[in-house]
Amino acid sequence: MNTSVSRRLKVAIGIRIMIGAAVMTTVGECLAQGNSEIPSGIAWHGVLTDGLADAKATNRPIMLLSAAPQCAGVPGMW
Amino acid sequence: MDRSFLSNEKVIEASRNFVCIRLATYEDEAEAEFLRTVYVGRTGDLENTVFVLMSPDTKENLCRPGRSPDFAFRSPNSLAAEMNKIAERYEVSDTSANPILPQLKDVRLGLNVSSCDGLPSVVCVADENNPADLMQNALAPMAYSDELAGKFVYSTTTEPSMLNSVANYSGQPGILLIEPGEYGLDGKLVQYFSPSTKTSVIEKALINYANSAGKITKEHSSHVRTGRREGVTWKTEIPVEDRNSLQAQQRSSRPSGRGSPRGRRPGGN
Repeated sequence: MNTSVSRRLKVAIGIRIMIGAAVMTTVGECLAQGNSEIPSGIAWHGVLTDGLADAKATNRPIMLLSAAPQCAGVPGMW
Repeated sequence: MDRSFLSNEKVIEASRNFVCIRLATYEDEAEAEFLRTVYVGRTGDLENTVFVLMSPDTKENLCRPGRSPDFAFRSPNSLAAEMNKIAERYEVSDTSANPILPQLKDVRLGLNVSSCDGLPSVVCVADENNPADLMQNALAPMAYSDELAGKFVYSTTTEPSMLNSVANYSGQPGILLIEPGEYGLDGKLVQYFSPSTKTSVIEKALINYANSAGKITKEHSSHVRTGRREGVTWKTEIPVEDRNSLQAQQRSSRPSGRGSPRGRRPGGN
């Protein structure tokens, strides 16, 4: 009985250590990425005529977005 | 605008088969006219934000136009799936033949958008001896490369005086790597490339910078509140029509009890 409980306890502790290590690794990777690298993004044409010329030349469909580069008159924020 | 759509990995991957155009609302009359043909709100005014997928000739809308992707799509994954399905319909010509640099219409807007995105700015400063198209053609292929796509905001000027607010810049023609200021009205020169710099050197420097500098993040309401308090303002090229935005602007310009105007995000953007 005692042996069985002890074995279960060891297994439970082992699993917790493994999960903890995995979580710490993931968190560490996320923090490293967030702090030290600019993530890939969408390459936006900011001029309509340039974008339309590109679409015409390459026959690619268009994703069109428009947003104001100011909020309540304050720049630096969409 | 729910920006989680546009920073989603699957949407970014799907965007490589699209021409992506992001206009600055209220910053160009001709572009505003075009946007009005795409989507206007119930009041008939051009709203702060517009989103649609279109055919290459713009004659056909490929999704329901609206203020943002969530007008037509439940989730970023559904947007990405639809984009992939749409892309299959078109036989694409060689995209690497003569790429067009994805840039803003001028350096004033370029720095502001750079700050809005929290991304560094790359500016071509051209003159008679160093034509803009040479610099733009050098940058264009790398702007779409796997390593650099969507990581920098580009613009061009032939007037170095437009960059007087950029610290450490001496006014020479060339390509500038600039870290934008808090409000995108100024910035700091990080690296200068003379017009004779080899493209491979510029590309390597941009890759190194992208791999070592993080994206700048800001808190929306505190940015607006602080900006109003410090008297920072942006003059749009054409009048703002979006009623939510106008109301927010009026609210934030009203003095509150303690003299600090309150900022609010208009229309959920």
